[in-house]
Amino acid sequence: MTTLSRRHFCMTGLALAAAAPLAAALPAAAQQLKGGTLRVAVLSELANYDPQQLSTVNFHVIKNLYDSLIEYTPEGKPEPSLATEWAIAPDKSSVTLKLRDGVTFHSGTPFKADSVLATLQKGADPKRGKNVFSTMSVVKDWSAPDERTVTINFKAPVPDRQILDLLQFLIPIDPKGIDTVETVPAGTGPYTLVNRAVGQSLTLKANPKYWREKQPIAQDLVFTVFSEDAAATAALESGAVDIVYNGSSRSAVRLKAAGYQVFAGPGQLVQVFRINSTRGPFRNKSFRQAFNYLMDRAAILRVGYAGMGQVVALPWAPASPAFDAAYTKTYAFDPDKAKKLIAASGLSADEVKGWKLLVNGSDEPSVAISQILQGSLAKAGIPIELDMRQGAEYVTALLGGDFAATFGAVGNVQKFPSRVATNSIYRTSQNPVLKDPHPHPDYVAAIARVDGAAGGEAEVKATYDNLNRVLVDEAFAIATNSYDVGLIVASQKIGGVTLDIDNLFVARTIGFK
Amino acid sequence: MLWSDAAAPVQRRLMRDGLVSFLHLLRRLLARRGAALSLAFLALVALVAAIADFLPLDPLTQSVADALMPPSAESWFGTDELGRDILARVVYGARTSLVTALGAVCIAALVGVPIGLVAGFYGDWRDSLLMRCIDVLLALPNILFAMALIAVLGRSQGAALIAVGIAGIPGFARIARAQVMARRQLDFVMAVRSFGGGPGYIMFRTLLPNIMSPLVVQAIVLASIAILLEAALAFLGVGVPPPTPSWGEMLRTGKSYLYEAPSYAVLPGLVLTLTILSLDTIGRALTALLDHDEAATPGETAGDRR
Amino acid sequence: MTGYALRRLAQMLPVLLIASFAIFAMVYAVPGGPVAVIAGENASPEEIAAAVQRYGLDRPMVVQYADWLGRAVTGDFGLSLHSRQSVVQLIGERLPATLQLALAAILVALAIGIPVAVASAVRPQSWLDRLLSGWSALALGVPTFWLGILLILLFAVELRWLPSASRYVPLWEAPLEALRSLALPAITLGVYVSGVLGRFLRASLIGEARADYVRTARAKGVPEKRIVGLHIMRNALLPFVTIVGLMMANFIGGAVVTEAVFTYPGLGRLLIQAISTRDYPLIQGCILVILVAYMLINLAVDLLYAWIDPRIEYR
Repeated sequence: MTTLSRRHFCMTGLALAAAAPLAAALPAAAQQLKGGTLRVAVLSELANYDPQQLSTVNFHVIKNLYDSLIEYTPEGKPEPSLATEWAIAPDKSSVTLKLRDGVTFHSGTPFKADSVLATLQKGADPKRGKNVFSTMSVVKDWSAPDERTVTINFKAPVPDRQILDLLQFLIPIDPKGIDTVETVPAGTGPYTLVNRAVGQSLTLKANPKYWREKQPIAQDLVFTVFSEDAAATAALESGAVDIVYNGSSRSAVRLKAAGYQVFAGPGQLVQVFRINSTRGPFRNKSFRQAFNYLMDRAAILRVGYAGMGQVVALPWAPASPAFDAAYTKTYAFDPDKAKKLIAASGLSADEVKGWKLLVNGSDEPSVAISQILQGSLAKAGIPIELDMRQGAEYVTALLGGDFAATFGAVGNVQKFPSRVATNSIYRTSQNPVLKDPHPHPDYVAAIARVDGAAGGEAEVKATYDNLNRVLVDEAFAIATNSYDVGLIVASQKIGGVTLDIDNLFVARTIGFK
Repeated sequence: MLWSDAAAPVQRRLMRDGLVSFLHLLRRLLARRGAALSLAFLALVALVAAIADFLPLDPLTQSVADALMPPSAESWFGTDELGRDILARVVYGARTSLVTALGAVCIAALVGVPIGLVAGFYGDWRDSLLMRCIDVLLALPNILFAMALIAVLGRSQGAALIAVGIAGIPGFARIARAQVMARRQLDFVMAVRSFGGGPGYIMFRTLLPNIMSPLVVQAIVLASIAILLEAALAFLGVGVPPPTPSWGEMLRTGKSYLYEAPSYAVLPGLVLTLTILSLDTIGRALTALLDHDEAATPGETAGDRR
Repeated sequence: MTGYALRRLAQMLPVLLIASFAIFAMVYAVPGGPVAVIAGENASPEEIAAAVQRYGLDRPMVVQYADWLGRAVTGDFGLSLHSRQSVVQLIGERLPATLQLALAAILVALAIGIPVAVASAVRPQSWLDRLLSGWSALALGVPTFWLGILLILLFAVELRWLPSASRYVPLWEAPLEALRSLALPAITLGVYVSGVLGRFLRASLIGEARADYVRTARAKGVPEKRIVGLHIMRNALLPFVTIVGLMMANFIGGAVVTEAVFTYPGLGRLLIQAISTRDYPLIQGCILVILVAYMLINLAVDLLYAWIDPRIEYR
């Protein structure tokens, strides 16, 4: 067995777009920080307290009410958390964990193997597993030889990085409270719930029995829900809150200029132009490929995200092992090349314009960048209309695949590359947009190759290169730019901000200078 | 039919009187300074909107490099977040607003007036039934009602128009009802009735021309409410979808660029406000003239708009 | 009068029943369901199916309505699909915010509207009257969202005196903070209402001033101040009560635009949010509260009428 504490991870450079003051970002450099009441503005009402529902709206609470089995540093190095040790079997078909001693859940229940088993059980249940469910697909079964040990067995050999991702994703839930976890938090985290005023605020207080020494620093943690970015930034400027979490890039740029601290984590999102390749002109590969060149990525990044992030032609954040900057140059905005590909498609002028671009009307950047694409298309001789939908109507159309094309961001782009397949457009089976059988078998095969590459670095790299090639060739999803989610904008008196690999909000190390 | 021949002269006279009194009213309206100014402004807005295609204005062409410019000699109102000319978008936005207002007034009048006529003319169970329906419409703030309707119909100019139009129905229905109730026992109605005029004939050919003036005032008042409501819907993000220019949508986007480009939200809002004020001024002047009363009471014509 | 009030209350029931069913039907006609939003992008088809079943959304619409109605009459309005919190609690948290804003706006409106109306009614058609009538027209014509933006530009962006976005702070908990938060939205909404009040009050004051009893009082040599203060004002109170009542009723759900400008957590925005996420129980609850509030305030206004003016008699 190899203990994976100091293994090399191919994290190709960590580009912090906002040039976060790194010294302050690391808890190691913790200055003498004082406690107090930390007031945080958030932009969404949390859906519920289930840590397996890893949607953006829950990002601000999960890491404060719960702990995961292991954590990643912002550079992607695994660190112990509730699991003190993890050992991957040499054949990479199982992993054995040692659990931390002396930890209790908020209810007083001691943290033992039974809670990890219950959590795995929930994650593997399609009805309850939520976001964890797809990650559990590699898991065959699990067992607990004793109270402090858990072994997870896999269906086939699994790449190391994917195993670690799974452990980082697993957040033990109190078995007593697992059935009501949506409404009553049941974790071991640094804070406990005091009060929730739905749509307005969430108040937490320090867990006196927290296992990490001297943490949390702030005794009280108050989240105030602001439905608009402008409101949250106004509150920060007036001193009503100390931190804005998950605000817009545009406000972050403005506030940075005004002297506020801006912290951008590695867990970026990538905006992707999703194409329903089962419909109309999009069945034509040459026509789809034209969109590789039709994206005015620089304009999209500037108008939609105030220039924060990077233009990309592949769905990877710069922190992803599969990131390849060369593609961005090759597929730069070039209407002439696009026109040639459209001509080569053999489609008539009527055929190429008979579709609508679905737009998420509730999302300001989407509205702007969809209009930019509409302008580019008009220049290329393809006049199209925007189909603007709000809220649930958009989400339903998006997830049901009821669209010709639409912009929609994808996450998990900083993790193991095949994790991209958790996003609906990239799903390899039961794809809600492209349906079964998958119209792009080359892509499905490329993902399988990535998942099966349990060998050396060169082999792994080759599978990534192959996946990248297939992605731009099949062109059913065109990445345009990475951008920051979970941005932290803090007043000058705040220190000790920890960046999370998924950009979740971690309050336990934050204090006042 | 006999009775219609007999009633025809009476009818023609009533119609002619209506037309004459309307022209007379218009002349008197222009004699008022505020109303004349308002009319001139509205005429300008309508004219520019109508001939916008022939003006050197392009509301759609983007130039991201020139985004969020302040007002200048080149673009009088500055440029928006995609580098489009805001003035051009204000001019084309006037089309959106005016078309919505016109359509909404038509829908409201075509549904509301017959409801009011029937309810006021019969005054029996039909009155109770129709007015209860109107009450339900009134009880829900019309902006919420419009939003719910747009959620069903989807975002489009047509949906905005219908939603605003339905919100205007109670106003017309109530005015028509009140006017008819006041007149249904009057001599000329009795005369037509004695000639054998049926209820439909009396309502639409006799009473309707006679209550035209208050209805016209209501139409003007509703036009201003319609423009405001359309803009409010667009401001809330459910109006005519972009890239079609719309005043409310410009205010909505402009509001998120208050720091970078304050004029973005201010100038389109100014044009919107002046348009609404103009319509309101004309509406009030007309009411005052009709009431022959210096103490102009807006009475029933003041619809609620929030 | 008690009989009248009871009869009016009884009349409310069919309207509520019709409205609630109509809304239920309408909401179901809306494209897009709540499940996609709850389950999220990465939900498996199994999970979506489970959610549909869990929330009973697979039953026919009429059955769902009957079920909802059966619970609603016992005071159980269910849980929000999205946040899994009780609808009553959700609305209970927004209602005070809405009422506080509405009251503040009415106070602003009274503070501006009454002096404007009185000053212009004292000498109709004078330059002052024209000026103040112009103010009323302006107050009515300026869209609240534009006025709100101008106020934000001035007081928040330029002067930095007040926050550009408001929170709900109960007045009795932190009066100063509450006033700071409330100032801009209350002014925005209050200016509009002051226009309505100014116009109506002026008209009724002028109307009363010409009434016989005033002429008699003048002939008897009662001082002008006393006439305006005592006789005219009291009688002009009638339409005044109506307007204030109607405005209050309208603000319960209808102040959404102002709430949106200042991101104020009012009931109207809760409803819009609920519509956007297709949160059926929450939509129903909000609309019922708005309708009931509207009807109750209307009834209260009518009763107040009778109390102010004993000549009005309800049978």
